[in-house]
Amino acid sequence: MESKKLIIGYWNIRGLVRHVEYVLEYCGADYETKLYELGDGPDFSKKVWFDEKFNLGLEFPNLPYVIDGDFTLTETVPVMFYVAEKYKPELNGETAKEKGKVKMLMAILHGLKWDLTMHCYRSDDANEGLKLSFEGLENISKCLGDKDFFLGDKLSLPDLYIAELIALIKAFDTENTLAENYPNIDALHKRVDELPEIKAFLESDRCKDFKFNNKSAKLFPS
Amino acid sequence: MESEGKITVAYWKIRGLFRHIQYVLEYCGADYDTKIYEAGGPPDYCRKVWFDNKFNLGLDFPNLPYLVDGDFKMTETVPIIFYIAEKYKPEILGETPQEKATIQMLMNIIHFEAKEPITWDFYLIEDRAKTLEGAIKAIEPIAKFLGDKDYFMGDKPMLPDLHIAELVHLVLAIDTEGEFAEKFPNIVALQKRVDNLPEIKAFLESDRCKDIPFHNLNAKQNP
Repeated sequence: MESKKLIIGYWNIRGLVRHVEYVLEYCGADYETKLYELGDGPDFSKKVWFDEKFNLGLEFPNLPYVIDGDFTLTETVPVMFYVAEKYKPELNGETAKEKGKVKMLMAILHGLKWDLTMHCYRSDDANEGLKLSFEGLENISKCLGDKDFFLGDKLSLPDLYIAELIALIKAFDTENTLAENYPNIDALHKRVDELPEIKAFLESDRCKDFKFNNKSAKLFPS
Repeated sequence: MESEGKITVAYWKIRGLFRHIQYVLEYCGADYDTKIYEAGGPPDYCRKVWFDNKFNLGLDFPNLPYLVDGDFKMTETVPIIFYIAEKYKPEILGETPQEKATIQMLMNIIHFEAKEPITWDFYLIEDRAKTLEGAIKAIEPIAKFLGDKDYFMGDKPMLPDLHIAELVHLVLAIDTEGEFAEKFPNIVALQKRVDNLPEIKAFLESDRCKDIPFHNLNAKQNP
């Protein structure tokens, strides 16, 4: 039976889905996106999503979602792990300790992404966003140290995750101070974006010129 | 020198997040010991005993709970739980990519959409009824997923079953009118089913299962 394309559903923004796209593209997954557009202000209506939300067979309806034939899934980080597990399981770590470290890093990185995104919806203060970013990056940078990737010399899920997170941080960083403060993090960002699969994606029309956040955000809105 | 393979898990002297981890340690038959930090009582609820050590333990992201396994160290409750299962009983994490993903999704929902907001209510508000209302709202989609199955994934206990049991204990502790139990008999039955698993039953009856409060003493509600 021929395999069907994965369907990824999300808002028409970078948001959480660009992180998922990095994994899809690195893994060479066959996928298409279903995009939902938030209504304009002042209501910012979610009607276009709510009309479908409970009719897609999702157990815990939310965005992003993935539909893979009969199988459906939500929760961003589990979605990323699923794509990796299906196509390139080594990205999730190979030993119990590697898997543990990968899961811990994904929790930390996603937590920082969440905090920075909440800031964007509440405040137009980019400097404050950068301050929060650097507070979060301190331990992440120490954990990476002088290694090429978080696990050493092999790529894993947190490396693919952090690239889009650094892009958001660089958007706060109007004076371009990241490279001097966290050179290893800046280098990792560049290293991931130079991977052939990622480079090809970033230059393709699959990589949409979307804003980071939805129309209702105060920083980087659509 | 610690024994080969023995792990240490550290936390406050409360049930908190730790009892969830213990369910997995015990079900998986892990060889473990505990490092307990005791926060002070009123009025300061001093956490000095932890803060004095926090940055000297070699943790990448210092926090409680933490796990030490030889020279491997980690934090973050749900990753810790996955690590223990991966090391001692990986079958409870699922076999196929779809099963593994569903289990991860369920763990996320139980932990971040239920356990965490419910716990915040216990710490921050005094209103038992409002806390219970929040718990009912959070558990509703989880109960729907369970349906009339014995366990979340069918007929075998997996990680999310072990994880939800302690949360059900917490909610039942404030379910004074039986409203939660009446709305979600399947969830209460699951909690009993998990507590009756031989490994869990043995744990609950042992002196490893300490009679300690759910939360630190600064919590507004602490049943």
